[in-house]
Amino acid sequence: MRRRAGFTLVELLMGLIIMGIVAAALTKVFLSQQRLTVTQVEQASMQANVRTGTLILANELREIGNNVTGGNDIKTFTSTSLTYRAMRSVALACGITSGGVRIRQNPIYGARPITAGRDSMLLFVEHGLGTTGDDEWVRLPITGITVSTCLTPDSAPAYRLATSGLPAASEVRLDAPVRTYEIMQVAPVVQGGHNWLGARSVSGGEALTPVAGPITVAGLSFSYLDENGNSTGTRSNIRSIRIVLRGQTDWNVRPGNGLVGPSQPLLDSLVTTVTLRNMRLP
Amino acid sequence: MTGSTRGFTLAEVLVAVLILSVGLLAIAASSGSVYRMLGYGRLSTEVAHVASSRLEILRREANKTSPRCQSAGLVSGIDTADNNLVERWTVSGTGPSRSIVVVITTPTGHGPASDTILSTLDCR
Repeated sequence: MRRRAGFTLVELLMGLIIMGIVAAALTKVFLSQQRLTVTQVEQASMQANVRTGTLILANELREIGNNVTGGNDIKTFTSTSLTYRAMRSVALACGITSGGVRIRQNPIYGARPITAGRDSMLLFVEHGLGTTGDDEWVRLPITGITVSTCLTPDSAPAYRLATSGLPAASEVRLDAPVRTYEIMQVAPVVQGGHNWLGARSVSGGEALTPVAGPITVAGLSFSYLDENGNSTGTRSNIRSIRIVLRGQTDWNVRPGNGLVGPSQPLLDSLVTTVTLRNMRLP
Repeated sequence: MTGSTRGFTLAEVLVAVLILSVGLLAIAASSGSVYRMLGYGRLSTEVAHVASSRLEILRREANKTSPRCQSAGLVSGIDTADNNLVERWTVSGTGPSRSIVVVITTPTGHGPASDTILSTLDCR
């Protein structure tokens, strides 16, 4: 009798079992690969966030000064929060009149228009012409902005920055520099269940908004160092600021090779030191 | 029995398994290299921050005196930062500026690697 074509039950079962084993192995490889990818993407993203956060802080704080005429750029400082004057634009004065400083419309170097209330200005006052010892930056509020012209005979297009407490017009040179600034704060902020590096314009009346992160609880810390690198609590002694930013991933991920260990956020931190640039020399 | 029984020979199966394992190995190797690159990226960032912090500290030292750069602390040195990063810096030159060379040595799986950063301090 000729054997009929086909598989026996045993052959079929063996085939199914082998196929099952192979499929299970492939699924396992696929899933662990997927977890691994998630872990790696999260880790890369966290590293980028921490890097961005420290760069933002270092670049913001590098420009500020201390013991400068016109006041101190550091307003308040704690181990987790810093309020400072952030320079926003530079312009040239072309006329001092009663209650107003006129600045040339062109050039104004800044990333956004000057805003009354939010911005204040530092006006360079020459006082006596023969000496540099009495030169100073005078801090003035900006209470309004109107389109105007420079004083004659110049008459170029200008903005008039309404203010109060002006020095005598004779003590300010034509094209004296005007710097505008706003009061900024950097501090941690909680949003959506995560901690973030937050920033806000204090003089603009803003609330803290996240600029980089997420960071860990207490993931932002500042230390204020004097000229010898020792910690100081005296504002006029601050020469550099040490920043520690501790980041964490958005989600819980499998650590290491993505296969073992409980699911938890990955952590990383960066430390940087920035020396304040605009210091008046001793 | 007419002809050979249908099915795979042992050799065919072995070749198939070999090809499959080469593919799986490639996948595993790629994830390993991604991890290595993440590690390198992290390390380079840290090296850059350590070096720039050192430059900032030297700048602070230079600013201690007027005119600048007269401080006795503004000299070459060596220090160990976090994660066993070794920083060596040299200060050279006189007059209106100083040349700064910061070399950061990092222990890696393939032995120590160095990064060098050059900068200048204004002493006027």
